[in-house]
Amino acid sequence: MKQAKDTTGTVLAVASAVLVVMALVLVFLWAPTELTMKEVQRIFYFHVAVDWVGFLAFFVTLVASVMYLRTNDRKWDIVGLSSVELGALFLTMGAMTGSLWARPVWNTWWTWDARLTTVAITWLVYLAYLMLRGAMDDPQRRARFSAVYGIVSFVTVPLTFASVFFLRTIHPALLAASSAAQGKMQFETGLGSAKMGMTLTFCVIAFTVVYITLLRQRIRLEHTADRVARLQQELVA
Amino acid sequence: MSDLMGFKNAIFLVVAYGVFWAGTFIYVLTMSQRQRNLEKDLEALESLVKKDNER
Amino acid sequence: MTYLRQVAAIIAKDIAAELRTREMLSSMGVFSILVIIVFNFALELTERNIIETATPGALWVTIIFAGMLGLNRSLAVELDKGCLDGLLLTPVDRSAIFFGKALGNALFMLIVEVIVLPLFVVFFNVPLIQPWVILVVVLGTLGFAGVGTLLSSMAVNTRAREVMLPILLFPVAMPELIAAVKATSGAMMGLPLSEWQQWLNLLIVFDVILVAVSFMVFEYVVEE
Repeated sequence: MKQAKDTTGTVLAVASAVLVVMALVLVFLWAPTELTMKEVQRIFYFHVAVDWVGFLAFFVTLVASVMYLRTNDRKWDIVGLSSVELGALFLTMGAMTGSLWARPVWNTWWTWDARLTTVAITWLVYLAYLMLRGAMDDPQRRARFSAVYGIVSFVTVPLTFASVFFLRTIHPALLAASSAAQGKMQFETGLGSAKMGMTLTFCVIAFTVVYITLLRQRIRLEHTADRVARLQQELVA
Repeated sequence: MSDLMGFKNAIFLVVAYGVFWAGTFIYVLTMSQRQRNLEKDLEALESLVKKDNER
Repeated sequence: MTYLRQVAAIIAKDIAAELRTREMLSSMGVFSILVIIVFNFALELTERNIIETATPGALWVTIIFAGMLGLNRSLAVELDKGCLDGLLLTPVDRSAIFFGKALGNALFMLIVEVIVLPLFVVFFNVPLIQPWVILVVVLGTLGFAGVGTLLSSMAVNTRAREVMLPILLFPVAMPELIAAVKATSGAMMGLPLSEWQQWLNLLIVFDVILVAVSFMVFEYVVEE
């Protein structure tokens, strides 16, 4: 029995592709050139969009975790797992591109400011979540523990941001190298700044759609794997 | 002078967008591959179960 | 049995068990001494101002590594001896088990810290035996033990037992650690409270949040 035609999936995929192409056009052809950083600044648009999705994914996992604990339904476990995988992918891309932007602009590959530290910690949480799952065999327990960790570790995101934020504001001397870097961009005209804002918003929307598309695909993949496992057990029985 | 800096930095820009593209592409590819494999398994298993039931 | 007595009973059980073998405390203690010695050589703490900036960090690294040893041990023993199952069969509130275990773990960490703090004073000549510093250390320990108890309850049930706890715990405890280090630094150097009070406040807030969340989800970890 072949899988029924997946119209929603195709629609989402097409929408994603279209939005990404449009975003690229906006980023490279419409958005203004930044005054000091010049073209390299264009990394910023996709970089921020990808980071945003990376954190959105965590929120989705949080909700899925809570729902799993309340319902014990495997489908929520799948949502949580899929979202963490995607979140890890997006944050990895975000951190890498952030480095690639930081190097030419601030002459350093990394800096422990509030945002980047939070990205690093969140990435470690994703890794921990996936390793936790990898080290457990019993599906129910695995789902439950993952959900618990998804909830407990979520609080570290705002807390880490807050603590590093306070750290940096009290010690401005430490900031010397990266103060220029704190996203201070300048454009020739007011219209330029507005265009930047709109381009950024569009990129964020585009990547959110990409995330939803990929998330749905990943969830379906896991459901299929479940069916295969069930059939295998049926045969053995 | 600043043009030269612009050119040197363009490398970073290119590589950065390469990362986006490569990352998404690889993930989508791995997922489609797993999906195809699983669907093959599914078909095989389902026909096996049918044969089993008919017996 | 009232709630408090349940909690106290669990703590008493852990203390009694530990007093019999003293395994956990001795390994935590020895480990801490070793870490301190390593720090002594690794950090080249020769200049005065370097000592003052680096020591709070070194202190907390020592505490959390020793703490993790204790957390691992404490929950592993529960699992191996089937004590946890036994506890669950009694009509004890699940959350009482959590607080009992967490406070027990905190207590063991505090006992080790009684050794660690004077050692730091002796080796690095830093004024750690002050009321504010002790308060900060106690607060940090409570928070760490709280969330650590929850996470080690999970870690101990995985294939990669001992390795899993640091992986799970470090990212989650990070903000609390940052606040604790900064607060210790402020307290140690005798700065006026207003200068480092926000770190103390942050530490308290983090502790409350982490422990509250841990306590709320603990039952999902131990239920079968």
